[in-house]
Amino acid sequence: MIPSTRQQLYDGKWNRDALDYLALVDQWHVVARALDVPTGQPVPVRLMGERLVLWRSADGQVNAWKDHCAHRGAPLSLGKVTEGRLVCPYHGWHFDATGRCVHVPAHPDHQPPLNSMVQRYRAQEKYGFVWVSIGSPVSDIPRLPHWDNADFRKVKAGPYRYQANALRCLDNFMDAAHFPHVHPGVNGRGDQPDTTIQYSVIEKEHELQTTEFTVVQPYADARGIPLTVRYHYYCLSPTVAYSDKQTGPEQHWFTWCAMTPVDEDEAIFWLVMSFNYGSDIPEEKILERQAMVFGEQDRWIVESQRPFSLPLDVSEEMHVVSDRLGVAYRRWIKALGEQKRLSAKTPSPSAC
Amino acid sequence: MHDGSTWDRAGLDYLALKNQWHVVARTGDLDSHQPRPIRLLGEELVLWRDGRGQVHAWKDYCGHRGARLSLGAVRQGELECPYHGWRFDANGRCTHIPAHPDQATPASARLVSRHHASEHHGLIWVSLGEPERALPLFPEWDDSDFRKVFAGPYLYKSNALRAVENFLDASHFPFVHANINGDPQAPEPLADYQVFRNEQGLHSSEISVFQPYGDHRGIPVTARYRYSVLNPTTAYFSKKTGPTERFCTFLNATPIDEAECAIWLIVAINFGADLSEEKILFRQHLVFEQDRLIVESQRPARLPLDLQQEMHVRSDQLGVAFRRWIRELGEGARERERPAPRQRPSLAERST
Repeated sequence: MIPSTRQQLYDGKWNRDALDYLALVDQWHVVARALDVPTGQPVPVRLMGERLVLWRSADGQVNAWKDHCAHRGAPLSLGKVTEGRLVCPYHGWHFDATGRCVHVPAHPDHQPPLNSMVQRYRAQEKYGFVWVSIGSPVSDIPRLPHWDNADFRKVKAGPYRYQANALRCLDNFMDAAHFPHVHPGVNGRGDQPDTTIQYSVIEKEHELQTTEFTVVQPYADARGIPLTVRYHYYCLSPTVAYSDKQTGPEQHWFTWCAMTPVDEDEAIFWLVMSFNYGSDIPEEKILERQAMVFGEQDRWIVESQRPFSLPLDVSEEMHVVSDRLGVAYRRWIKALGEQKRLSAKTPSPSAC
Repeated sequence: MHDGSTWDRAGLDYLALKNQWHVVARTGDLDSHQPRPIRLLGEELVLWRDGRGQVHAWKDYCGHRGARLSLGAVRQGELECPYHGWRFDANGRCTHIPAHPDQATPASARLVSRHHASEHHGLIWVSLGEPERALPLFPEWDDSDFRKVFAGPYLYKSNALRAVENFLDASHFPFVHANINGDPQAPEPLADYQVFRNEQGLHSSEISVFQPYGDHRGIPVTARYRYSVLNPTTAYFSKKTGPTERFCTFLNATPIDEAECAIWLIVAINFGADLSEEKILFRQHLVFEQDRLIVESQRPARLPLDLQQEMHVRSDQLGVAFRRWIRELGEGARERERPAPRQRPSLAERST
């Protein structure tokens, strides 16, 4: 596709030269649940301000393309999937899974050009989610603790839609110091805030981890009992993180989240809990607690934060010891963005 | 006043339309008492009718205190500003200032800004600049064998040129107008056709398509179309739907703003004297609602005038010729708007 067209086709709000945007380009992002993409029906989604269409080829493989037919600019998501091909709604052109136009109904004998007329992105399914990258992913899809371990029960919650930046959302997810204030009576005691949030951050190649710290929670997990719990946080990518909350000697409650950066000020929050106890806790009870904590209480505060984007220059905000993870996260995002900016300036040998 | 308009006034598409006649209302929409606000090419205009019945199109703006003249009234054939009651005659001259009846009125040039307005074929036409082309003729208008039915205005959240091109395109019928203008189960190949240009605009040779519901009688026909583009926002087809039956459509698209237009139709048919107006309008409403959905979804919103920005096949010939013509009109307008290069006096002149 011609660069000038691509420029005009972007109608997102996000400044595509900004470091936070650049940091997300070469990452995998969840855009939908696998079950949201049926066979036979294309589905429109948005990622980083781009309009995408998701659809399944005959072998069930999910494809993520720019939601745009290069013939007359119609969105392919208004079309349909017939015999494993995506059919444009306007003139019925057929595209196979490789992006080639294989049939023009008005000219059945027409030999469509060999080069791809659609812009394809990398797409994969994992953990029941569809993952897409609009760039060249620098690492694999992040892990989900004990996904394959049958001793751990899994419950999915969400999606919760936030009118907020995805990085602000993830920063909030990894912050324990707001518990007594935003989640009083649930994740912390409003009248007796914890003073024990002291930890170090371990920086690995594609990951940030905290050392252990403890907090007192009146309603620590779906059982609804007060506990002193031990936390570890793991940030696996700019939009994926999890907490490991130890609620007993052997009891672990993992809360894993992936954030879709829909646009600069729009995100979708997807949650998976995995835990090795409480097999008798009704799923509704778990979902009810998560909807309150992540769907309401956190949403309310994160949507109110200004500026919308996460400030990557750490001197723009104030930081205290409990913000160490957030500070390391900001630095990481900034470094990823700067790397991307640098690599975009240096033409890669393969591009020549 | 170009407030809130997103249309780039230096764009070739805008320039191509600036000096053209555009339909903005129907004759019956304007009486001789009430001025009427309209928008054309991002400008706010007021339409009003003077004592002789003549239509005027001015900027919707009084140069005294910036009020909208369309909120005023027409009294004794003069337009009265709603704010301080200043009166303007058909020539734009300020004739009366109620607060100072004896004072000489100020020069009109600084108070109102007039555009060309005309009435033709039951429609009101306006040109923002000097009209380059004559008002277009609807061949069947004066032919009493043809019954005329007005349809619309259909309001599209789309660019007017995208809407006109859609009207000129026969290859979308089976997909967008399934079971009306084409058969989705067996979309027909489209035979090649020719396009020629003359003083009256662009014209196609005959294009033949099978239509399950080809005209207002609701019967399957082999329809034979001839299309014309008479002016950049005026298009026409004459369709043979039987040995003598003709279904003709005169279409005008008001370019309200970059992504906003209004479609005005005059349908002329020489058959079905017993057909009710409702039955005729039913088919028109249905087809143009189907077109609205697809045209509103096209990206970019403006018609790409650089042919390389989209793909073209043989059936797109008329659309391609239309884009070229618009581009030429825009380039012509840009050339004329460019200030003449300042003549440097020759050496001989300088020495004298």
